[in-house]
Amino acid sequence: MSQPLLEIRNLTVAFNTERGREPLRAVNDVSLSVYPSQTLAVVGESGCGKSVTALSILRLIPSPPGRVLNGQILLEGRDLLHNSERQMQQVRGKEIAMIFQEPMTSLNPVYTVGDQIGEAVTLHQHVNSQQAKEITMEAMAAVGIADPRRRLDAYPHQLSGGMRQRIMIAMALSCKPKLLIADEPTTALDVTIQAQILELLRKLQRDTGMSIILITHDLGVVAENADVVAVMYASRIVEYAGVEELFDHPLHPYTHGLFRAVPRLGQAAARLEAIPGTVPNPMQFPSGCKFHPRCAETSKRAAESSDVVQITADRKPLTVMRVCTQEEPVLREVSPGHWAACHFSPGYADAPVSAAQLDHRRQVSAESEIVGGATV
Amino acid sequence: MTIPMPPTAVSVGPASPATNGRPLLEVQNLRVWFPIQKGLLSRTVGYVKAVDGVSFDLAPGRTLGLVGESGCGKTTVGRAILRLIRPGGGVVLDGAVRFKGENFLLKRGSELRRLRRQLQIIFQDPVSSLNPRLTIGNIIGEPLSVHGIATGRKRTEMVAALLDRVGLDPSYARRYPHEFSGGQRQRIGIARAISLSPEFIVCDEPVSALDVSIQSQILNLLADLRKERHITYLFIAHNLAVVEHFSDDVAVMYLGRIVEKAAASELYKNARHPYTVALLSAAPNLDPRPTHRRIVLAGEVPSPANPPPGCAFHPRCPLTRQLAAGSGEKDTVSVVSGGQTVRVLRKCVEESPRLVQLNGPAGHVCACWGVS
Amino acid sequence: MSEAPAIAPVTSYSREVAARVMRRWGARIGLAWILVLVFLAVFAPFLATTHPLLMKAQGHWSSPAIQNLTAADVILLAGFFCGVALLPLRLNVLIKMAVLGAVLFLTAIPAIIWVHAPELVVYETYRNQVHDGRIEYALLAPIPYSPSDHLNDMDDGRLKEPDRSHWMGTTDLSADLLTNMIHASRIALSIGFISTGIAVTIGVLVGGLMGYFAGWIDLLGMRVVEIFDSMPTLLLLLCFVAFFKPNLYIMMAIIGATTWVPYAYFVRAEFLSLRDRDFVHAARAAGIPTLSIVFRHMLLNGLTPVIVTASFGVASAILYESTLSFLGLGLANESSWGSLLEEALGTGGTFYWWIALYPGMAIFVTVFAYNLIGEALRDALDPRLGRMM
Repeated sequence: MSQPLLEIRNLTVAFNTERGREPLRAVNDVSLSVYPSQTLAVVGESGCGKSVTALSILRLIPSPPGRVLNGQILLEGRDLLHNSERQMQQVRGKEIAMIFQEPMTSLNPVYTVGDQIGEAVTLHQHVNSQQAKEITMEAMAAVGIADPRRRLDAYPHQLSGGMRQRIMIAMALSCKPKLLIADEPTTALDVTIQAQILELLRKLQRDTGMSIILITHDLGVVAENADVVAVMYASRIVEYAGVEELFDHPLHPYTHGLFRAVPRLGQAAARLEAIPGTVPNPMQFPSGCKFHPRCAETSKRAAESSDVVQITADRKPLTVMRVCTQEEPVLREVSPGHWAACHFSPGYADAPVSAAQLDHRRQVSAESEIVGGATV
Repeated sequence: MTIPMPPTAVSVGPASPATNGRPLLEVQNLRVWFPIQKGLLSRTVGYVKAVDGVSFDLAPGRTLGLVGESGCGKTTVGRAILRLIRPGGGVVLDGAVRFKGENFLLKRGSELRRLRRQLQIIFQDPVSSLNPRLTIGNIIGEPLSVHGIATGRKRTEMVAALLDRVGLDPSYARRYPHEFSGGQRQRIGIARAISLSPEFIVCDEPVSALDVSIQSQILNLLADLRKERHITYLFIAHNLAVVEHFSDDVAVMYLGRIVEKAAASELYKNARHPYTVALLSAAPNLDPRPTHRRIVLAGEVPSPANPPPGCAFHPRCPLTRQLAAGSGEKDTVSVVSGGQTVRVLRKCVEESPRLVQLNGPAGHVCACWGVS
Repeated sequence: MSEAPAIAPVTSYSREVAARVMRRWGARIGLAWILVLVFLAVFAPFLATTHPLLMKAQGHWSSPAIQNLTAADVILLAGFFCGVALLPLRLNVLIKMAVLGAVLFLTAIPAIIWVHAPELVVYETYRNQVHDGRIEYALLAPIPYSPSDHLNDMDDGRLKEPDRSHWMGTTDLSADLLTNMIHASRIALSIGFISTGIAVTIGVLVGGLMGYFAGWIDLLGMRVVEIFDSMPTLLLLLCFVAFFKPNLYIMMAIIGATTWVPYAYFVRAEFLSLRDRDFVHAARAAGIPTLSIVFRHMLLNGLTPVIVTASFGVASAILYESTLSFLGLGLANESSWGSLLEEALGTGGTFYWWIALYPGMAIFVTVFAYNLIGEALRDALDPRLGRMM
């Protein structure tokens, strides 16, 4: 049994709001793990806390107003939360690297891309400027940029979105990190470019053995790239499983609802089964399970049960199971390698509360035929 | 204004349902070219050919989906139809947009204003599509006043009814846009669009900026409104699954032209144009055990300021390379693409293909030398 | 975009901005000082005057202070009370301003026609008569001196240091400094607001036209703007003063006519970007007439940088006037803070510290106050500063 590369245990991150109000918990009791050469996808909609979780790993949350209230972030056993700022600077870029959604705003517009990659290289490796240039060009070639020598002097605004994202990836990988955190790396890109970038990430993972935490809201991207999936809703992880297991047997009503709400290619449906209501406001989270006002499962069971309660959801009265409004379910291992946080997942009541860790790799990788150029 | 048209202009409309047969909207050879101006006196040195000869018909009650990647011109088509592109300043804007037979682009004054009631638009960005300084009630109700449909109390009632129809509390009419979430703002935008009871609505990426769980709500709302009010939609999006689900017919655009058009289910089963095939292949599926081989197109989406000659897709096209490999010297030509030299069919570089009907279901057209 | 539904109570955008501004302590201090100045300016004829507020002479009660009000005093008082009455009402800001304007206008006409203060006043009469007993009772103003009261009944009241009777000392003309300061606050306030008002009006009109129509109107307009941009305000004022007598209104006009350029740039830039905003497209698609789009949809949104710059502009207008007055080129009849400052350096190099300190501090604090407000406005209106996460 190998050890996880990165382990997050019971992480809680809060933000101070206006004076006098309670701090807002953006991330609440989140635990997950990433193994070497594994891709963990963190899926959720806006406001669920996935980006804050990722930024917290690298301690990039500004400290007022954000605070870590609780938890540990263990990189190969060392708690990053105990690091000083100087120690963190050794970690960032070198052991853990991060790429972001908007390449235009993540790259400095007044420096050439060669300078920016070179800066990352010289910061973490003891090389002279000529060697740094060589390493830079190698990194650019590795991410599929044709003619790197010519591109060294290009400015970000002269490049397309896909190219900029490749530059970001080159910067991130220039020091061969063990873990890459990718925060919505392809959301701003066209579909064909997205396919290129994801293919590139898969190839780089095969070549370097690095782990990837892939943050996204796109279930299709998850299906084709992830080994293990963590589903987040309103600051908590609600489901955690291997990718095939999750898509075959979703156990949390939210995951189930997401699958039914997304239109699928080739399966024309007359009407989508939408999840009613909206993501709750963090200042006014519902009591008990945060999903209950929108949950199809609880209202279905309430129709045949007596232990119910009436609430108002989306301007209409709704009957739900009492337990869902009183007790917030924690993540439990309801079947081997599959964690869910729902009172009505089969076997929930007796399931053990254990740390969500899964050393699983996907069985089938998306095979690609690259057309129209030698490099992706 | 007769300028020689590029040969992609022939359009074949979809089979009309059993109504009076006349299409509601006919777009004919629409061109929108933006000038590239350089120098002290802003001389026009070239054009960004955002839309370069687009034609299609829309029967009443049908939904046409328009897909493509950034720079293909689909958003410009939608805005040009609604006359939101200003023709001054060297912009080339020609073609015809016939709404119930009359060319909308030529209308003026009060006739234009009268006709504007019938064609409306829903925007992509929920933040910038609502005036932050006006209340929701004013945003939705202003068109009603301007067109003399309702004022005062009657207008307030109509606004309340519209808010209710799109799933919002009527008391929200007193509030301001910044108090609402993205999905709610999009509903407000929909309420504004239907307030004048239009017959045609351009949906410009209406759900792209929304969360997944909200997207389905909005799509359902649009579908319900379509049935209730018999609205004809032009549905512009880049998410293929969403477009297939929502549209009756789908047209694929690349660099300002339509390259393939068919009924939605037909397109997804039998896509013929190599770009469409690649696009469908690139779209991620909700299948953790993918069986099909994905085609990953190398190279960047070219800029409409400098489109490749002949068929704009030829530098990245797998089909032309494949066909060139099996052809003689005189039929092929070398081009440089993505830093490499490859052999492609001569015809693909010299002549721009026309949209032609394929052997198969009526209405499935494709613009590709390799296919026809 | 977060889907969290609305929880805040109904607030308009202006109220939100006002709340955000008031949260900063700088804005509160600045606003407090400006309000103090406004109060002093409006109530100067009652706060600092030799005329008793209430007097009993030979059996008759009278109020010389009220009898000696000028037309300007009356208009200011009317405007002040009207403004205070309107403030708590929940009406549209434009409606309130219209009402205020109407009240001012309606007061101005009878005031100018009927209210005449006597031209020549012998101030020492009051003090002599009180001393003699011919005035049985006199309720004096808190600062019982008028600006032009040259204390002729006292021997050598010139240039005296601050003491119990003259809290800020006296000037070269033997007038009480404090009362001059109070009355000069009117000039400080008015020159700031009126010249900035002129500048904003011209700037918004020119910039708005250029931004909305673009094309060749923009090209021509930019050339006009560049011409005005190169005009040096201070030199123009000096030239004017050299050829004509210094006149407050013309000075305000000159300042207004030469400082409108930044406002035009801002409004033009805002309009150029607003033209392509989706909500403007939506208004056009709905058939809303062009004029309505410009005034209702675009102007309201495009004024934000103008407001910020205007508050800095008011500060700089005050500095222009102070500079001119200090150079001896300001207004002749009334003293302003700058002209008082000029007297600080006497002949033979003597330095009268109180004449430098108090007017100097007043100018400094006022300019500082406007800058604080301007900065708070800028931060409050910056859309990015509101977001976290």
